[in-house]
Amino acid sequence: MRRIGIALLQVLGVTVAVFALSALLPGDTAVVILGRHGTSEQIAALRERLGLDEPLPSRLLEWFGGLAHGDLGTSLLTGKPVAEEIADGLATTVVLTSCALGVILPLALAIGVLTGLRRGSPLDRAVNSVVVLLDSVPEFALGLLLVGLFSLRLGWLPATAAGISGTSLLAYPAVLVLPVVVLVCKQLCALTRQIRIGVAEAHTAEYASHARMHGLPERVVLFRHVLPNAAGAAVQQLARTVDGLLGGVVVVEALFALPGLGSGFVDAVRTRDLPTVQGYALMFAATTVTVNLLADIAARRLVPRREVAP
Amino acid sequence: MSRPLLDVRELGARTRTTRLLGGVDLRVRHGSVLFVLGESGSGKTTLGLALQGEHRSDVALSGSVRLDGAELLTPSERARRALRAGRIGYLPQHPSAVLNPVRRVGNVLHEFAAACRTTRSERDAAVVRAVETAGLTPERRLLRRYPHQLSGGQQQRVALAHALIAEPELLVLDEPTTGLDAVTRAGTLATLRELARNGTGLVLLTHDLGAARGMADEVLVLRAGSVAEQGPAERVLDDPAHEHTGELLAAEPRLPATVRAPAAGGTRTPAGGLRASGLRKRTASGAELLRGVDLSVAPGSRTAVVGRSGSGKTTLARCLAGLAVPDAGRVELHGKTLPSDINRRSRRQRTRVQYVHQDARASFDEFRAIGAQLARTVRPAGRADEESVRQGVTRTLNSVGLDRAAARRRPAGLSGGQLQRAALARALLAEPDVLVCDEITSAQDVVGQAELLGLLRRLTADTAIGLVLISHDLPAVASLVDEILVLDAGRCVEHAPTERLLARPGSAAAAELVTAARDAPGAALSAGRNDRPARRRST
Repeated sequence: MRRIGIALLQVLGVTVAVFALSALLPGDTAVVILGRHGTSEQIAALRERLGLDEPLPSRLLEWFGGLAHGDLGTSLLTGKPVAEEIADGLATTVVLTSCALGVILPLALAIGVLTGLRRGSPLDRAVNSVVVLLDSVPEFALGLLLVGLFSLRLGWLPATAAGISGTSLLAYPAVLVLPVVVLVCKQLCALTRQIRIGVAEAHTAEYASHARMHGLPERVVLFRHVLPNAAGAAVQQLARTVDGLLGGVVVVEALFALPGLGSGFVDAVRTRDLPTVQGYALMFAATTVTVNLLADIAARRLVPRREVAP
Repeated sequence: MSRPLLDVRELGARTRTTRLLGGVDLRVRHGSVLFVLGESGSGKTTLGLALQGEHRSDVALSGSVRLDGAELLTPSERARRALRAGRIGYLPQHPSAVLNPVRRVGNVLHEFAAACRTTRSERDAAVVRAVETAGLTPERRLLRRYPHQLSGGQQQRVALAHALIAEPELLVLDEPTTGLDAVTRAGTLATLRELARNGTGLVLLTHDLGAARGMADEVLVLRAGSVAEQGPAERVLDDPAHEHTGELLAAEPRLPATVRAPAAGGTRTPAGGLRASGLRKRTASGAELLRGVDLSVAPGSRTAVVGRSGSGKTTLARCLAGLAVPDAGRVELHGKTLPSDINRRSRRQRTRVQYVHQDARASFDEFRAIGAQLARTVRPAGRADEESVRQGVTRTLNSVGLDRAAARRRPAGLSGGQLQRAALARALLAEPDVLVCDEITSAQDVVGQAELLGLLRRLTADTAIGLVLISHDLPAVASLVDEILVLDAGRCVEHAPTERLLARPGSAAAAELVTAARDAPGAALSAGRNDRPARRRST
């Protein structure tokens, strides 16, 4: 219960911080809309119309007031409700991240368990080197590399997803391949290694060999004794992986021209569209905090004795 | 004569570089009890595993181990486990390590039962029987617990239930009594006697000579991986042929016949020393750990705090040192109240009360040399001069029997006993008024324990250091201390001079401890072998 309260405060804290930071950025929406050629009178008039002339705290309070009614405000740029703007990008991002997660989870589990059981073997070392190598390449570099190879050189896969968005992406799986691969490569490492080390430790632990001495088949030892011990830390790492995906998605969407939350967020910041930025920030913060909260709850259930502070 | 249950010949074990065991021959019959005695590092645990055909992954076995005629060493791991599953039960040395921390104890027991029982009702019955035989009540509440919700004694009994689940013909028990308080220990030994009476063959790997006196048929003394002496228990224990057996016997703690005279200079002066009054402490969940404990330690006097596990001994010690903050009550030193939280004690106050932890290894930084770590403790005490600090460290280390070379090593390069001495040196370097030692000997074998206690006696003999010894082992500390305080369920049930407490314990808890101690090791000289149960021998 207390944990949930803290989570709410965290989300609110993030929105306030984002608000303050965006207020520090030079320029505002009026300048962006009118461009370089707008006169100062025009800018002032537009500012008044958009409500930008009011002091910051009162704008923030107004925004919170709207939030209490479930209203995220309206975009300064397009005049559409922010909720609608976000919903546009949401489907794309959800498809992208869940595809990535759908690949990462089984892959990390398989590689982690396999190498964990054979820690120190040539296979373990080879697989680990590859995973770490992939982790150390930045997303944009990897993305450009893959586009260069598969789209431009070989022409197997489309380089961008221009024009396709939301659930319609699922109808064109080829478009998804490169973005998902980039996301997976970056986020696979930490989870795999967490599972690997957890499995390796539990596998060689005294209680595991004790269970083997009692004549339990290796399969039972693995599923009942080894994996449950590795699960606690892995679930928390999984939450961090989801966080990482949300970060990665910003880069990947920009790279592949996918109209998702990430590119929407970037656009909103560029145009100083404060209510929209706030909406996105709230969205990301809420997701991150919820995921971590769920992971903490799951870990508490999985590890009856909590020695590591959350 | 029937075929022995376990027939071991020329058993050897070695790693790539060292020989761990060599030329061990032994036989165990149904219902007979073999004690393997030896110091730590003598190869007991390796032998215990080898008796079942098991070994650490870097160890190779040689020779022959036959269980009821079937060879255990040669077959594949799978075949061997099938062969021995259900026939040999094994209680490892650290029961807590074999309990899976994320599984309920009952579920694991059921799983183990499934390896040898097919139907669900058979399995349930086997679990209940094993738990009962191990001396626990097989109620749902207990079986649904996780290992960390059990006390040390209960964990040990759950591990024993693991070993008993298949109703094995042979039980191999590695240090089954180490770390248990006298009362729990007596209970465990009674359980084992009962098992032997019913025909189970027992092998106990231990340094607990008292237990050997009470129940061994045969004794094998192991030294550095070889058999030093082997034979019927009466002969080996009463008339040892090998000098090493004699050494082990001499190191055994006994309740003293004569008690150290009270510290000279009259009885306690109320102003001096460490006084604690009305200490109370609860856990976060409301369980009471201490319920109003008073304690006073005059300069130069030695007090032991004894009691069963879970009676609040360590909590009391930690409250004295300021490591745990009591809910009520206060701690005074030389008449001045000490802040109850160590963080609020001044540097000077902190050095006055020094605490020596049970687990010496855990109390050192594993990455720094011992000498450097000791020097670090001296510096805040005020003497800044590097050279004198180094000399002081060396001198103190010498006084506890460690040389310069040891000071340069990291903790991993020292044995448990050496580390405990270094920890003692570290505490002494702070020039404390009071030294609180929390179970500092419980991880040591008898020889190490005797050395450590002797050292403590010598170091505090001519000083004004007040000593508080926390221990579950009454016979070990009784000869060293002036006064004994008996804790039971967080309450001080008795506080009396050693002599009186041993002769006329005034409380049930104290009487129980003294009786258990007399029945066990110390009884050897006075009571003889009267406590040995009459047991029919099927030969």
